[in-house]
Amino acid sequence: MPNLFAGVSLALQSILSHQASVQVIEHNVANVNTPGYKRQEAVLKSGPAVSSQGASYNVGVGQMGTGVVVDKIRRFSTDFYDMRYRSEIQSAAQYNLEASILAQVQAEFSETSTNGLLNKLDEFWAGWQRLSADPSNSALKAELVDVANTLTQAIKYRALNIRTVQAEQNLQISQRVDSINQLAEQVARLNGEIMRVVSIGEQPNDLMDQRDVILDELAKLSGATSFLQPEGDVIVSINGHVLVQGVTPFKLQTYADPLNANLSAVRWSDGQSFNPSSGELAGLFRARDGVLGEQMQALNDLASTIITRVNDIHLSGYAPGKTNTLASNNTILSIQAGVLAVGQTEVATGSYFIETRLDAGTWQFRMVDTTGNPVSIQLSDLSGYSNDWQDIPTAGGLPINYDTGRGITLQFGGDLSLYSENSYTSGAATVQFYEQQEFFTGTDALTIAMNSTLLTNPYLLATASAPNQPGNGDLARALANVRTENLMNGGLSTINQFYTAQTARFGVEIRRAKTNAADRLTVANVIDQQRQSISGVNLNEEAANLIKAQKAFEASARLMTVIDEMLNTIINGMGIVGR
Amino acid sequence: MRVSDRMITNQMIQYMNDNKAKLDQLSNQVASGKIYQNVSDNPAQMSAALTIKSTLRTGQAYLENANRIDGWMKTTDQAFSQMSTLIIRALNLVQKGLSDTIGAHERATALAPEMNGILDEAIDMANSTFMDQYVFSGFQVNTEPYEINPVDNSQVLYRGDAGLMQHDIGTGQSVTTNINNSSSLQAMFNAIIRARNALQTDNRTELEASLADLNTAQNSIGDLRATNGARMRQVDNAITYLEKSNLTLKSLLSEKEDVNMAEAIANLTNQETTYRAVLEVGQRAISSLNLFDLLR
Repeated sequence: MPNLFAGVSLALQSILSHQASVQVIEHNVANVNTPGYKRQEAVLKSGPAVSSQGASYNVGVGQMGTGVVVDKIRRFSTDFYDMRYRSEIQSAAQYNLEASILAQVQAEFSETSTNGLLNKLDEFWAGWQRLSADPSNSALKAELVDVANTLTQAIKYRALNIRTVQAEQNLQISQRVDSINQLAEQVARLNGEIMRVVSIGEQPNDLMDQRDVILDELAKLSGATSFLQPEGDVIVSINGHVLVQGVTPFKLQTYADPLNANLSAVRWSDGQSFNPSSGELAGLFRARDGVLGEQMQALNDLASTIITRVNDIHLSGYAPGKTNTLASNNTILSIQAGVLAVGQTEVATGSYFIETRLDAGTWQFRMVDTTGNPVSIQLSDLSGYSNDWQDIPTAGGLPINYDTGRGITLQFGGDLSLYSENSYTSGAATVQFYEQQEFFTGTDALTIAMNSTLLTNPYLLATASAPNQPGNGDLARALANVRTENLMNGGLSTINQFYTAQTARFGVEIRRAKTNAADRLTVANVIDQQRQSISGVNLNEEAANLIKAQKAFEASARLMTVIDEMLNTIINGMGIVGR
Repeated sequence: MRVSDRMITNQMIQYMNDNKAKLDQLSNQVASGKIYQNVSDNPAQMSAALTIKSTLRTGQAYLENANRIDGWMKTTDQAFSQMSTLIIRALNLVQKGLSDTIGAHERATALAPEMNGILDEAIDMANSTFMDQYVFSGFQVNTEPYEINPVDNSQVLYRGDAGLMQHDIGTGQSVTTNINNSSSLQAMFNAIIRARNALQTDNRTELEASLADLNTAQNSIGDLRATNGARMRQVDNAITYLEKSNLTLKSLLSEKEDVNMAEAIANLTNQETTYRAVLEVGQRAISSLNLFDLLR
């Protein structure tokens, strides 16, 4: 049976419903710029129908509608697009960070300016080339020493620059790990709240929006993937390891990796290793350990090859015009500090004697110190480092010069028996002493340096292939021609070719990262557009809906007035006939 | 398709950034004059340019060497030319000495000192220097190679060595720079000394013999000069080649590296127009009316 008073509550219900609609529209408009906000809608539903009971006044059979109710606040979710977006944005973020880290060192490696390392290598070879044509020119020597010094500094500077950029990533890593840990905690907390709200049958729209934003961020940072569970929570995992399950977050921690120059590495708090396959951290590791690590290795190869090869040749040569005849006509060698300071194959500072003996018809010699103890010397054929008796080389039955290979030439002459064992005072031999120096010191790109003795005394540069020949530039020529020797890549390319190839390779790596980043970002943007298309707020639409709700609200209010008047008619107008 | 308000803004920002980046790239090209600023812009092209630059720099060093060697050889050539002249003068003197019209006294006092002067000049020539380095002393470039023996005055001492200088004038291309044939020079000195002594002692037989010696010396100096000349031609060819190839490489490098200014500026202007249009459209799209503006 229809009830007039029920009409009042029906109108009220209608007013309240449309008021709710307006409130949801207000919420949408207010969040038009909120990142991750998904528009909502109050879904209206007709109220439960009531069977008309006691149809005594012949009003017909059937059910009476009871107006309108708000069924639910609907959220325009885009779960499918969310997943697609995250899988693209994590790759975009990965390549983007990789490119931006590499770009920091690109200026060093671009070789476009005259400051390029290749330029300095060429100058170095050209310096030797010039010196080979004019080996006694001290200005050329000073220039070459300067060029070589600049070259070592350039190599070192590049290596240091790579190391610095690698070390700077420690901060980047720890910041990102902190963010991931915090975000994981937030997801866990939101999971808890969402599950609670879902369990009482409501929809926590705004909490879910918040969680989606965090999940986007986690995907970007670490390539995390998430799976929605029936209770409303999500399981988040990074490359197979769980980050958040229900209300429990799992922590990441950083540590200094002793196997990788003590640079920061990341592991799970349970000790398992952390290997993101995409996201910013993956890009960071790829840039730091992959590309920059390889460049560092290449620089080290380059430096050690130059050091070894140049030193080998330089040590076999002689500085013209700087040959000393020491201890002429007796066998005492006086070796001075700093002059033969090359490795352990040298004899130390001090005085030495030459002993000779006749052994089964062959003259032999050895070096002894002032107390008669044999001293180890390196032989010129590099056959050994020994303090044993050595045969004195002869030609045509006469003793010839013996070059110890480290700057000391023993010139045996006259009566060899004069040197006899344990008699150090007289003899007819000349001991000639040529200063020979290592050109470079150090072993790799970080330690390479010019020999400081050469740096301050450029006249000690070896340019000749034999002692006492100031016009002989054969050694300088040999050093200049190291440029054309295939020393790198197992004998396949020259030092210059190797470095040029490395530079090009570095360029390719940056370009790959940049191109990939741009491609993935484009795809991610397209997906984001689609996502926005579904869930974004359109102010025109909201305005239209607002008007719609407003009109309905006004009509409901009018309805209330009509019912009020009807009641007025019944209460005040009925039963007063004839009054 | 449903278009939300954020979509329009995001899209606009994206377009503006893209166009700004293109504008930046083009203006960098115009400002620097180089097509590529970084290796990553075009690794293949850049590494080709690097190789060319490297070849250029090496070529420059070879060129400097070749020019120096050329100077050295010219000095050598001049010395030989002077020596030839001196030998001719010596030959004339000997001819004069052989003449019956001249007496023993005149031979010893007029002709012999003049011959001695020729010897001194010949030694001076053999001690020629190029940039303070002796060209005829082998590797002993700082040692004066020839000196008359002060004891008996009839022998020229050699203080140099047998060193032959090999120098590179191109990759894998080398040349022997110095002529180091002390025996030929000694033979020349000995012939002059012989003539001088014969004039001094008025020994006709010796004088006639010295004539033959001087002729031999003349021939061997001529041979040495020819050898030096042939090497000079080789060095000259190398210089011409190096200069030519430097030019070719420079234009090749310019092709790989340098911007075509007309094209770059046209592109830049074009891009500026595009950028302006994007801003114009963006301004309209972002500040466009919506229904809220019209409702009352």
